[in-house]
Amino acid sequence: MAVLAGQGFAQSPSTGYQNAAELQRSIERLARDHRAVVTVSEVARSPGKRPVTAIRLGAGTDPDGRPALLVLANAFGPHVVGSEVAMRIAAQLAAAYGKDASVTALLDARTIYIIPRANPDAAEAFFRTPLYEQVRNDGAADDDHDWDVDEDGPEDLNGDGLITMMRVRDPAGEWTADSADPALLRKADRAKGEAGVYRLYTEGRDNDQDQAWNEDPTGSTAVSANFTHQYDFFGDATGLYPMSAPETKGVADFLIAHPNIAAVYVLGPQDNLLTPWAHKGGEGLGGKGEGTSAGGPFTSILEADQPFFEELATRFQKATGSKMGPTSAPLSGDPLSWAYYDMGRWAFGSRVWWIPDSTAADTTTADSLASRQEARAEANAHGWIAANGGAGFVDWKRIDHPDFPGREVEVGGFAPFVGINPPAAMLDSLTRGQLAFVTELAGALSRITFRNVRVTAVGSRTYRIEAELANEGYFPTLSAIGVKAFWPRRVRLSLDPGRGEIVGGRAVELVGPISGSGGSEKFRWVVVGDAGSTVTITASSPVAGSASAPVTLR
Amino acid sequence: MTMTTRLSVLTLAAALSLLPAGAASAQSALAAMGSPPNPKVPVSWDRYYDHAAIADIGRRLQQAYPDRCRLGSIGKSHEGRDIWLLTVTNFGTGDADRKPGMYIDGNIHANEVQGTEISLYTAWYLCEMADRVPWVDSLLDARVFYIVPTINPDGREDFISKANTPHSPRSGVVPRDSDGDGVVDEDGYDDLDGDGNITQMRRRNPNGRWIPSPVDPRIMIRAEADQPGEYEMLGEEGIDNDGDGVVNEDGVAYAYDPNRNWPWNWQPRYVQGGADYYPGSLPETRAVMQFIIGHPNIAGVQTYHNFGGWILRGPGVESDAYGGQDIQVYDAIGRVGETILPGYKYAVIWSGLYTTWGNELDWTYKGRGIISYSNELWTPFKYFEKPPEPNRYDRPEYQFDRLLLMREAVVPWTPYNHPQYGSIEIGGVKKQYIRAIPGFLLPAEAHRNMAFTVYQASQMPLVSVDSIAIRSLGGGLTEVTAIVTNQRLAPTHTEQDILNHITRPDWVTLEGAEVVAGFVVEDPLSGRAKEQLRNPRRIEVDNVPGMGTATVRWVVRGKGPFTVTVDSEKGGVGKRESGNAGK
Repeated sequence: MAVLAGQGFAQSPSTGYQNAAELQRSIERLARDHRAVVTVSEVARSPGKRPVTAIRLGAGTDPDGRPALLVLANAFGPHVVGSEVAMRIAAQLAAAYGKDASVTALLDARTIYIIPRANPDAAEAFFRTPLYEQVRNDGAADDDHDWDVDEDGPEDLNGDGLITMMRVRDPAGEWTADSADPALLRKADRAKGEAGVYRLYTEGRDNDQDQAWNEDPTGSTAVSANFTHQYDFFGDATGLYPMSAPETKGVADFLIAHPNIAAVYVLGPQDNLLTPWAHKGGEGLGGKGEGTSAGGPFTSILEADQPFFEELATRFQKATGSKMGPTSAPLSGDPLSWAYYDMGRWAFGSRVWWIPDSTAADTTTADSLASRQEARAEANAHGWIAANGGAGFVDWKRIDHPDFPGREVEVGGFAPFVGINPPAAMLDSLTRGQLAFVTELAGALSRITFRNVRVTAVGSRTYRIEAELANEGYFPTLSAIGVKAFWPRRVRLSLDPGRGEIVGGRAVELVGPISGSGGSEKFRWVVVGDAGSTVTITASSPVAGSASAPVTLR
Repeated sequence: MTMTTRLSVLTLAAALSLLPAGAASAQSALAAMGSPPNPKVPVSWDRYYDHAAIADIGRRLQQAYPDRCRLGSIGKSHEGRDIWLLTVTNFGTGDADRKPGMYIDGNIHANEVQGTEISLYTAWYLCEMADRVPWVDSLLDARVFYIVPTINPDGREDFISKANTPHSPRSGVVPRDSDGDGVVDEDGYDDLDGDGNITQMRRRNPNGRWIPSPVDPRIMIRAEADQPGEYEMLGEEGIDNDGDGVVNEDGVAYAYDPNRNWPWNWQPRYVQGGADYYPGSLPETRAVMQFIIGHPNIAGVQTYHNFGGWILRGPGVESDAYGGQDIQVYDAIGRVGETILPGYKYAVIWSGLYTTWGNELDWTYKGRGIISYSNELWTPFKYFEKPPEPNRYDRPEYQFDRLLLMREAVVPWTPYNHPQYGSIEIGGVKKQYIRAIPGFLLPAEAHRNMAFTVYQASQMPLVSVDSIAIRSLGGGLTEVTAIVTNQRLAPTHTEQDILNHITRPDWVTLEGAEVVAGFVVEDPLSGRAKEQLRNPRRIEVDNVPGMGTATVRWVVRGKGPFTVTVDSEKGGVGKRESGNAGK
């Protein structure tokens, strides 16, 4: 286990991470150094005028024309670890192309798109002093609806370069010190006769004198909450409407412009690889079926897709060695659920890193289940920080606060980004498992082929053609949600009779889904044509690949 | 006065000399009520205008009435056409964008053309009549109309200039792969007979299940269950262009539905057909969204569709909810609409029509807090001014065509040699029938719908400072109480608006003294008041209800006179001065 560098934050937690300008230079260098396999394009410009860039890894003539995986990272602004790992995956795949046989084969047959930093404005807060967890991009918004914009953000009152918390001693406050670990606060249970001791705020002043502290910081929209599925209209930092942020719209337009993207892997706070998504059944609105006009949208994955989520979770856990982790952040306007429910793609999500769990945290005293989970997580984090050199938690220390004259005000608590981004020394080792999973996932995409193509003469100039359309990949040619969502295309199967004529079977049809792992479907045509002439059967889908078989009539 | 009269007579004479020979002299005409007898901008309201003509009418209105009408654009369509905006108000009475605004658009569905003419007629009527009718004049002093005649100019152009059915295209022309085969718009309708209409194809077949109606053989009806038929119906005019065995499955007609592309309650296409990729994925949707978000003074919305004779409000989905007090406003205006528009019914979209997710007016109300209606223009009631009676052998539109249109509206069955179907016949209703209004009825329909929308506009909030009461508190302190009033049906903030903080509160500001404390008076009878700590000079009022008041109070140092202003984003601005506190 690497250790947070130094005591008292001699070194910034972002040391070893790349800010927007550095990341962009790395992306451009990667493209320069690996022209055969890397192409970059701009997906969007943030309100802070920073580029959102897509890296394409794929060799050969038509990388945009074959099944692809999209790795989307750092849409949740503080999750900079996602962009570092995504960038390392890109760099290692590019470097291995032409050297490592399996990577070469993969990038000859598949394409991997990587958008390493979907919310560059918010991520930039990781590289600024004072350090502050920012989820919003640099647009302007009136978060507290007081008709002033961005007028009350936090301040670093104790001058330690960090925005932490401040607690104000006040019997009207809701908080009290945890009896097992007095550095941590928990809600006082007044029903049990417990008195409150503290009011708790983000560190800062009440700049606009409205008796609310730091309620309208700089920025407008959390890119990771601005997608369509279960979008929280009028929510905190969710934007004016779904897809209102240029970064969100840019990511959406990128996926739409790349119908070959069959699966999306999102690095961020939503996880479905430690705890795979499950179908829940149940009725939609008014007892009508979910996924219909009357019944409304699906609220859980479709039953037929569940085994694939379970299997990929198993493969992920094997690739990364992870078994347990914190629960997933809720799904609301996030890219992971959008990719599955609205765009119909296979969608997997991983946090990449979290503070490892220790049973020592079980000593927490909080009672209710929700507060116990939260308190336990805090106790676990505090214990981990203490065991790793102490950086990451600021001990409570008294300051003079102009908004609270004569009162005891202390600043302290967890440092920003603790528990989200690991020390940079860990990035390489985290990348190993993630890279293994990404190649596993890209390799699992559908791969269609023709099997057992047969011609039988059934009469003068009349031939029966039979063929099995098979899928040698792992995933079916479409998921159940893919069929519903329509956007990922079905397989287009056609027979070109040349100078002959089709008298039975269809010249063109859309078929599938065809199961993976060798599953197949049988098709039959009857063609009238000259003996010795050739007809061609072709199957293709952007998400499942293509196959073609010439057939000589005889 | 005399001079002015003389001048206008001269101008009139000059204008008349430009009339083509044979036109009736306006001097000999007796003005009919409701119409300008001598419009500065003559427009025939018995036809459907294309993109260039819309701009031309707009330019002529702007030239004739530069202080009343301005032509602008809210953005570009997919094919680069301007989405025209006519701003109609008295530009001489203050900043137009600070007046309560009525937003009107039409033609979101490309084939629903007459929304454009109704919108244009509204601009034209208001401009032409303000000098004749004082009520219109004062309406334009206090209100602004933002009129966007078509928010689907590409689709409109397709409908007008290309062969279509009455129902196509519903979408715009942004390319979409409707059948999911990887090729875009490769198999649309084909105007086989070259008459500019897409009608029906039939083929004589003793095993078919269709026969011509004995009343009007142009009508095809199903044979009785136990009787043989004479024809099979082959669908709309077309061929299988891409050889996939399906005819007309991928044209621009229904590729998406622009009225399911809006952000409130948007759902993907397996819940809502036509939703497209995401809300605002279409450039036209986005242009309207940006315009409405950028104009918080908009307090009323009308988006014209066809057809069926409906005055619709949301929600489009049963599980969605509209605020109870807002519904009272909707109902009051909607019921007046039923009086103005005989044959039209006021109804809720999901229960009166069908479920729609992500429609325009649910976003303007639920997403932006604006009272919003959609009129479904034209109804079969209008054929004979009574509800149509079901008749197996006849249809009201065919009867109307026979009796009033002299058989102009239907293409008679005509033989055609189809490359795939062989010997067939082509015939049926023309595209500008069924949904679009026949020419001689269009002006009346335009006028009635205009009148409803103007009524809605007149009932948008309009605030003023009603009174200022002063009471000396002694010691140089004075209590100032101001009543702000809104003498219209609609509130300055709908419930939806208040709940979600969409529009800023109304500001009531006192000038002329040092403010010691400021209050919102919650109950004027008891005097119960809530202090506003921050910036008490400018009291924030959540809402001035329809036909109601809001009361504010200050304690000030000084005796006056005081000036009180009310500044409401949707209700306009008002001002009043008080006298002195006296002793």
